[in-house]
Amino acid sequence: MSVTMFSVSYESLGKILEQLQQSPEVRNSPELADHVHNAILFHQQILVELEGLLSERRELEEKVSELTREPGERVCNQPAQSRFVKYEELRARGASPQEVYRAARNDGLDTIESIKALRQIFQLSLPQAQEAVSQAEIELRQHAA
Amino acid sequence: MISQGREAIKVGHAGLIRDSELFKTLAHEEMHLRLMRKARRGHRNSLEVVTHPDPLIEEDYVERIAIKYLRMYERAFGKFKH
Repeated sequence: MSVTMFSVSYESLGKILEQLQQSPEVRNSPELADHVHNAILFHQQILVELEGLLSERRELEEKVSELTREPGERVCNQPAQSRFVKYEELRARGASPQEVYRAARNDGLDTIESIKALRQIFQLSLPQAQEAVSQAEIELRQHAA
Repeated sequence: MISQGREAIKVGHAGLIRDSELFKTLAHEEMHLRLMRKARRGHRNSLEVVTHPDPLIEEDYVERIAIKYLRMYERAFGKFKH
């Protein structure tokens, strides 16, 4: 007796079971129809549990990634939306680019990251951002003197 | 905060699918570091790319160079077998 093994994905299995349910052989046999119906219900239940587990796994992976990441560490192809939230709030409260730059520098951001924050928040070109940085630096020096 | 000169690359599982992907990922991440170093030295185009408001600009740029490196490597030493 030969045994044929099929490898199907969970999504395909659901479609196969639905097609089986519509086949004339299954429709004509109440016993077979009952078996297929139970299989569909079981498949749906497993699918929900699987999706829950996959979602938990994704959350855990993100948590581990966050815990093992140093402050300021970037992840490629993942938008860092929350990176400059604080400075966006400052801008919303009416802060100038110079004030935002000083706040960013006080928070430990280097010049390049601060310029990036300015360009992102105020939609500045590089020369405009650099101009704002030089003005802020001049003001800082004047305050220090 | 990661200080200057302490930047490093971490490669996750996504980069370990196959050898060619690992090679490309390393080249991609190395390009980020080189670009940042050039920007710090005052290179205008690098500064434009690394401070661009749209982060995809930098990603696209380093990915294109990583693919170029991969093609150069494969031309010199043959295709990756895995």
